[in-house]
Amino acid sequence: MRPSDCRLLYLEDEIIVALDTAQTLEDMGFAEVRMVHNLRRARGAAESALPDCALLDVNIAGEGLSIEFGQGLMAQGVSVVFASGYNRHEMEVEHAGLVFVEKPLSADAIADAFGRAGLAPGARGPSG
Amino acid sequence: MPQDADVTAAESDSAARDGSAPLVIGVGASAGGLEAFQTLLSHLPERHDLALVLVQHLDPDHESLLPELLSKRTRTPVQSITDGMEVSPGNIYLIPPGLSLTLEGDRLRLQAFDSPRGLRRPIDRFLVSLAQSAGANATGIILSGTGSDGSVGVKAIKEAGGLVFVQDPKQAKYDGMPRSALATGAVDLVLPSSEMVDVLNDYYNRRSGIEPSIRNDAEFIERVAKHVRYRTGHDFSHYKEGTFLRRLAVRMSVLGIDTPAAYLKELIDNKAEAGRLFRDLLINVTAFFRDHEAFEALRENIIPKIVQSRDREEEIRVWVPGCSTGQEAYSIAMLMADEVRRVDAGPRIAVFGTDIDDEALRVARRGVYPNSIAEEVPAEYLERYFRPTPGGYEVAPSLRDIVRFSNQSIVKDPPFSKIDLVSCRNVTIYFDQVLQDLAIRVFHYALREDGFLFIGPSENPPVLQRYFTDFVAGARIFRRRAGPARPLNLPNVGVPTITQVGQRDAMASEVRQSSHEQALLDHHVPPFVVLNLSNEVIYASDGAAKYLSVKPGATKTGVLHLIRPELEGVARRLVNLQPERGERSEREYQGEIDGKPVRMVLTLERLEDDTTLLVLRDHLDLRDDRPGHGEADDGGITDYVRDLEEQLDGARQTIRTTVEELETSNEELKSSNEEMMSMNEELQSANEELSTINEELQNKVAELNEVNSDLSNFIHSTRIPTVFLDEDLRLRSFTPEAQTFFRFVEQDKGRRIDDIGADIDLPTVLRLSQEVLATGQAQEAELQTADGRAELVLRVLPYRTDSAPVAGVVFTLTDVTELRAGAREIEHQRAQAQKNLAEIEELYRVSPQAMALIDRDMRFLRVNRRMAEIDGVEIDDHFGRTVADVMPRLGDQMMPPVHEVFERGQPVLDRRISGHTEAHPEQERVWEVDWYPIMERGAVRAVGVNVRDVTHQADMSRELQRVMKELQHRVKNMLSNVLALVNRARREATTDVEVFETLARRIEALANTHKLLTTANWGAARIRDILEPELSAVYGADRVRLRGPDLLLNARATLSVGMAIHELATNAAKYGAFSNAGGTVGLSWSRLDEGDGEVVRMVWQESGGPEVAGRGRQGFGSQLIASTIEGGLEGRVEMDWRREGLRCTIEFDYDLARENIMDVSADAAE
Repeated sequence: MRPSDCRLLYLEDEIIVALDTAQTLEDMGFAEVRMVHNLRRARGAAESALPDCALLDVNIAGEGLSIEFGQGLMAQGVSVVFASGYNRHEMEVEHAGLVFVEKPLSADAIADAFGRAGLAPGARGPSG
Repeated sequence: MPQDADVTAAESDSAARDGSAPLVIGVGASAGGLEAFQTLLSHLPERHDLALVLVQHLDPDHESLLPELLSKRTRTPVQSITDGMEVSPGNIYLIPPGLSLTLEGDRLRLQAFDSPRGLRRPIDRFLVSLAQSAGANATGIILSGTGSDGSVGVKAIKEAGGLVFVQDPKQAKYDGMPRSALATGAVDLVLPSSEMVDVLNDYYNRRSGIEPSIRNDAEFIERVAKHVRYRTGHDFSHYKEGTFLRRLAVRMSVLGIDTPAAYLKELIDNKAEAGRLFRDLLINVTAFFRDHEAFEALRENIIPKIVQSRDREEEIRVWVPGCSTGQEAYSIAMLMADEVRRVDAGPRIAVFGTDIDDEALRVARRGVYPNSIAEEVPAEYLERYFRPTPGGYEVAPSLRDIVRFSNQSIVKDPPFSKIDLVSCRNVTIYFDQVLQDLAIRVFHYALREDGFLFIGPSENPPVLQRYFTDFVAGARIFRRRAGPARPLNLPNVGVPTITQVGQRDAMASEVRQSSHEQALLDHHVPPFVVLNLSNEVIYASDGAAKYLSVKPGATKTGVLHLIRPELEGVARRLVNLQPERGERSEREYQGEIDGKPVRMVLTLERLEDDTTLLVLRDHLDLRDDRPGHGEADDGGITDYVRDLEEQLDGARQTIRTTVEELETSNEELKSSNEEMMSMNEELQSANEELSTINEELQNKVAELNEVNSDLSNFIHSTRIPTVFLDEDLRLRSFTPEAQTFFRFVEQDKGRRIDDIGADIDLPTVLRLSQEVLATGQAQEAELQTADGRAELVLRVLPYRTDSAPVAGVVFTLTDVTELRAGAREIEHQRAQAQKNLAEIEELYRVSPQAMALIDRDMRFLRVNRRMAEIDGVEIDDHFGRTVADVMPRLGDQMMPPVHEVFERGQPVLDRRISGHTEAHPEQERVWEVDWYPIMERGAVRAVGVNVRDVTHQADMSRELQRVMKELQHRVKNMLSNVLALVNRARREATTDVEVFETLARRIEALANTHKLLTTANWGAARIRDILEPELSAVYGADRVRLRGPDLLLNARATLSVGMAIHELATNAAKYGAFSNAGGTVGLSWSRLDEGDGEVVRMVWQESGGPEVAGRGRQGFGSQLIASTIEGGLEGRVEMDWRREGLRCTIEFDYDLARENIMDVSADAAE
């Protein structure tokens, strides 16, 4: 599945980062980018319409980790990439089977991560 | 043997000598005698009355050292004997070598030996002469020696009533002589040589008091005899009183008893004493063929006669009463057996040996005799009738079977009968007259008609002639007179007392048979006298008395002495006619007797019993002419003839006496010679033995000299100042080195030490020496020389000799100056070392670092308090236990490094281990441990362990990492926000989009570098990892060529290098090699050292880009590069805008770029 065919769920509690990244994601060509800022809404969004793929910030202020939620999505066939300020390799070692991308995010890094998560490589971002 | 007669003589008159003559003690010894002599003499009191004569077997070819050796042991003067020397009390006399010694009266005689070496028996010879001369005063002592010399001598002494001591064979070095002497049974006491003198003195002191007190005590003697009879059944009341007394005195002295009453008590209390006295009384010395000539006569004249007179079926019976230990019986048995063997036919032989001494009989029955019998028994007999045994000879069965021994008393028990030969030699000499007569009658009774009696030379009982006739006169062999034996009436014997001697004339009792005969004899028969063979008057009738008179002087019983002088001539002529038996001759006498004219006819008739009857018919007319018989004496001629006849008689008498004496002495000489010859062999061998010993001694002396010389060399080679002093502290000897401290010269020997100058503290030397002399204990002191320059150790030791425990002192001086200085230095260093050790100990104790020492067996040698705390085990409980034992859960981590250190000798440092100990069983602890070798002489003796508990640091490190991680997280979140904002602005911007673009990229590059660093925990990054994301990843690997070693850079250098390369790449993308399609960038880096420390040089070379027009503008990028490298890294940047492309050289200090790099791997391991 190409990104252009994908409906993406994006969870990020940092508003500024969320906005910028959402723009980047759209630039990357995802068919639909649904942005949510907390887990509750993310769960709601996922229940209302299961996305094709998801980019989930791991640490959600006030709600904890999104790992479990993401794993739930993965169980339903969603390609999930977790975003974290922590070292990507450490996280992938710590949570085997999950795909991480390290913040700050760039289009390339996101594309690379979704590629590892099972999606076909997307279009390069505007920054090249 | 000839001494028999002399001994008896000595005994009889010795009583007179007691007390006045010196007490002569003959001491005999051979091998091992020197030692025994020395102990004997060393017990002599300072003053004494003893005269000791020492007889030793000496080598005639060597001068004896004996006088010198012995004089050291006693204060009694030691005399070497010279011929004729008088024996006086309080002296010791030594026999000289090669000469035979005898005692004659109180003079010592030396003679050359008359027998060859090997057969000489000097001890026997002297002791025999001593017994003869001193009688009961003689004492014989036999000490150590081989062979049997002395045995004959002690028998002689015992026989003479003397005293015999023998050294205890167990103590004697060689027990041959003592045992041989003991075997004779003639020994009074067996003593160690050291006790002899005391016992001897005691004995003489007692005896001189005892003898007079008991001599007149007839009751005492009677009571003793009674007790002996009671105990033993034998009556000694008829023994010669002198002998009896002497034996009693000896017993009392030996027992230490002074009074008769005490001895009687002892006799009653102690059953054995009666037996002992009995044995002493019976001392009956006997030997084989004793009195050789007599036996020879027996062999020649008697034995063949007896053997021939018997048929084969008959028995020859011989009785040997008083046989003692059997020698006499065996001797006669041998003669008999040999004769029977010689004629090769003949009767059986039975020899009966009897005695009352059971002990002697036991010996006799056993038939075992010492070697010395070889001198008594002829060699052929010895070979035929004896078998050699280890100690001597044993009677062969063929001889033993002939002889039967039994207990029988001559005077008490019924005798044997039908005896052919009685041999009773030297038995009756101990009997008084009554017993002697009885014994003769017993023998007469026992013998057959024509039987023979063989008696000793000094036995001459008065009745002998009545019952026996001389057969071989010189040999004392008699033949039984014919006639029936008289009844013996034995049980009545023992009643008569000793004082009855000679009271009644036995002949008289026989002549006076009845009263009518008596009357006839008294009144009607002419006077007559009865003479014996020696013409002695043994009976005179009443009437004869007037013709007999006793002349003044010694009374003689010869008829010619007793008859009146007037009748002597006639009587002499009659007697000298020596008529045969039954023959009768007459002579007439006319003259005056007592002034009256008388005419007498004297008739001499030899009777059948060899007595002679002389009848004096005096009641005759003066004028009765009887032709043929009447030979009147006319005055002058008669006197002349009488004188001549008297002279002739005297001459005859003298000749006979002389002949007899000559015969006797000839016999003596012959027998002496014989005996000496037979001794030859044993003495020769003894001499050989002594020569051997002498040789050994000389070897010993040579050895001793050698040792002496060794010792002397040793003393001089010690180079130790040594001084020898005698017990008066006079200088005896010194080593040359002693002259360092004493001004000794050789002439000072013999001077007192304190008379001689010394450089040391002499009073101390004297004081210690005197102490050593007094106590015999070694002493030691430290001294200084007078000038104080040298320190000395003085050691004073007792000088010991065999004779004295402390005969002086020996002291040595040892210079210990250097030793002391060395010792002080050592002490100083030891104290220093002690101090250092204490410091180390203290350090060990208080060190916050845990320390321990482990040996090869993994056992703890030492641990400090901190270590104990970590282990949770008391310090003391570590010792001897192994690492695995103390820290079971850490052993696997602790031990391999220990092994490694032992093997390689190199320390293992900073190794981290973790786990649990007893101190914290629940909590895992982390330690940093160093193992280091403790070397000793090039080998690893032990492994030291330093342990630091880094559990806390490790915890801290983990916490720090967590904090850092969080920090990175936040930094990146922040960068994300910034980047998001820049992106937002860029997206919204209509102008200056490029500015935002650039800003965004720079922030991204910054973020990337951060990411790089956070993977390594802000520690370090590899240079290639910094460069590749900025270059190859962005512009393609085909356009970037990276070359250089793998370098690790710290956080600061990473950020700076990352920033600089980002700017160079951005610049190249805008204007340089990345701005067109074909440009490439080569980036190479290297480490180099140009003298100021290592630097890293990076060279950025662009090529293929648009041609560089000239020096580029100094933009923000260039400034950023310069400030990051030069400001942040103190490095240097050089930009060179060449035509083909920019060349940028960056240099920075390598050390600075590596500062604070944490151990990435170690952290990762956490």
